[in-house]
Amino acid sequence: MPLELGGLTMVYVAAGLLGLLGGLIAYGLLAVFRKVNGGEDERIEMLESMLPGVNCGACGTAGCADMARALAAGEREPSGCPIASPNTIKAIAELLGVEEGERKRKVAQLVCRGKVSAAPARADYIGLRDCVAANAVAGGQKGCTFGCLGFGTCVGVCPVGAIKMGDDGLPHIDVALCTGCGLCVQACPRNTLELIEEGQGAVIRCISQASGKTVRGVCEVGCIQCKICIRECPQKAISIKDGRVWIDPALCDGCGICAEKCPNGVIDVHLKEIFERVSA
Amino acid sequence: MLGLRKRHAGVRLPSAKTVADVALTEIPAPQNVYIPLQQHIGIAAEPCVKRGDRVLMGDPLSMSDHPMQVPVHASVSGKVRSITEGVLPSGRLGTIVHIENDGLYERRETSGRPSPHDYTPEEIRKAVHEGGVVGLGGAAFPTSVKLNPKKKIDTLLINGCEGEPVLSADHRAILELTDLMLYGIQAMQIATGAERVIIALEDHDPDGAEHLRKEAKGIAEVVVVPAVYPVSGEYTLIKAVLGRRIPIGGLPADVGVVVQNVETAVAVGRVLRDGWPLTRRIITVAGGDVERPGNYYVALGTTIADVLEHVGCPTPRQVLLGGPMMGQAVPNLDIPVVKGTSGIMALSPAEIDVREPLPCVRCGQCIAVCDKGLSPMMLLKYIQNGEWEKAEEWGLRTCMECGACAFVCPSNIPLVQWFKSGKATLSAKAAPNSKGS
Repeated sequence: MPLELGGLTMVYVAAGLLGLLGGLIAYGLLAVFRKVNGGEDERIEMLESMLPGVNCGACGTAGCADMARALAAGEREPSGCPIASPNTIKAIAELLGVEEGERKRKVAQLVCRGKVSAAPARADYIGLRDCVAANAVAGGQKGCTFGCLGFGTCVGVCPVGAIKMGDDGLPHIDVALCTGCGLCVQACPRNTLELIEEGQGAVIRCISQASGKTVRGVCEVGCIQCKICIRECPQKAISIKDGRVWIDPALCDGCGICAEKCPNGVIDVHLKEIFERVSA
Repeated sequence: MLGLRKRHAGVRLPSAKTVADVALTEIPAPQNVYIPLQQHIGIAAEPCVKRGDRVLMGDPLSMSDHPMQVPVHASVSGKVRSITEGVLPSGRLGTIVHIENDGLYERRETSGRPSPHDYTPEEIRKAVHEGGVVGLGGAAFPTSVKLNPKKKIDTLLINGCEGEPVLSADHRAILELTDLMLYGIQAMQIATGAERVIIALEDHDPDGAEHLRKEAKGIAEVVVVPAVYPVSGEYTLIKAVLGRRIPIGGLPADVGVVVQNVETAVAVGRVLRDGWPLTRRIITVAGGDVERPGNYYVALGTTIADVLEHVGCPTPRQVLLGGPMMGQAVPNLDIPVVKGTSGIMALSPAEIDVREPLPCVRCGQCIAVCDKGLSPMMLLKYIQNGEWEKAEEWGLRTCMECGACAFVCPSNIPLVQWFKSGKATLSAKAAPNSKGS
């Protein structure tokens, strides 16, 4: 005799049976997964969720998942992630029971002040709006052959949207967002972006290797290699290296005398404020 | 006559050889010449003059024994005003010797030998190096290095093809400087030890071919190739004439061939017969803005502005160095004419292409015309998407930037510029410290 059930009862019975079936299958799958994946370190998944997830590659691994694996395997220190916050790094170190490792914050900075009005173009450029492409056409449209071309290739590669092109034709870096991953530094065909380490006292915002006469002809705010800063620096931290003026970050204490003496205002000693903004 | 060995890919361009019949004339050297020390592929030689020196025409300004450091010579007589940095045709900075022309054109004493057979191969290479001769087809590779092949050479191929539309400097050299050219060709045959010499010409230059068949009898065979661009490139030319393919990353010497441009042969002839170094070259000056287009002898170191002034184009709008296909835009007019400058085009607004690029429709015409067998449309996608491994795998580095793909693209995509920029990125990735000026 067929079982007679009311309409509602039938729904309960069906739901119950399907639920039971689903539960059994899920348990079976879990059992199989455990058996197959038994060797996997459970911490990797946790580490991956703790890491920033930007996949910028600045740590030297293929991305955050790979970094999580390297951390669990003990190949990397928690501070190896240059963009995670101090709290995250502390939490990772606690989870793994290891030292945090020494960590220096870095931010990308533009080492060129040649905005369009100060360093004018020598020709009109018609072509791809891309710095690498423009640089390949007779060294770009800019009068200065070292300075920023201003087509914003760095803007496109920044994984956190920290770079914006300003009306002055130069990229502006929001240091509060910049993670120091260095992708913009790699992408820039002119090397006008540099990673500045926390604690560095001053930075020279010009990388021209040209003679003072040439620089004067193409830019109002370029380094003319007058060497006043080299003479005036009490720490003897400034010298000529690879054809351009260079500050040794190990010697510089950020006293600001060079910035005061520089006739073209090329030296910037406001790095401390920049890093304070980063930590804020 | 030889038959053609292998078909090659490419595109038939309108030849537009509007000044092919204009005989060579000389543009007088200007008041000031600016001679860069670096005018070739390689390393600049050290200067051997100093500020204030008086130099004669033909005096060396730099010297070196190293084959990749080719000397440069004074193209006028006068005083060395300065040796400072300045902008080169590449747009980058380099050392330039500024000579103030005293208008006397006093020449250095020189001597040569009446026949190329009076020279040994070693003497030829030495004289060619000291005479500052480099490949005048455009690449400016040191000629003495090419004349010192490390492998067995069976064929010397003289490239008389001017694939670029408009340019006709080589054509004029063939017709007007035949004796010097044949002298140079024989000398290069002696230096390379080649058994066979072939002069290749394009089929839109029948006058040159007929002339050479008469004049070069017993010295070289003359082959006419279809003017399907880029047959003038040495990779394609060797394939078209001899049926040999240079392996990827290889050189013509790998298949037993040395290729030399006809104007290079003229320069070699002049160095050996007259002892006169490379101080001037033939340049086709043309374009819509030029009042008196033609083929001119130009003293090396003359600025583009001086050249254009002389041909009636005082205010050019866009200037290319080279021909319309591969010519490079110049950033300013104060840059000097160098050994690698084959043409100067001053374009009128009608000749400047300002169409906006449209999306790729994957028609595949670019693939059909690429003689390197590349897929430009695929390379474009990989570069735009930043898939650098793929771009490398699909042969981006082998692109010779001839521009045939961009020429046929119905969407007007600047493919060559994408590839140049992509190649720059690949090189920067391979050697991160090499980028920048």
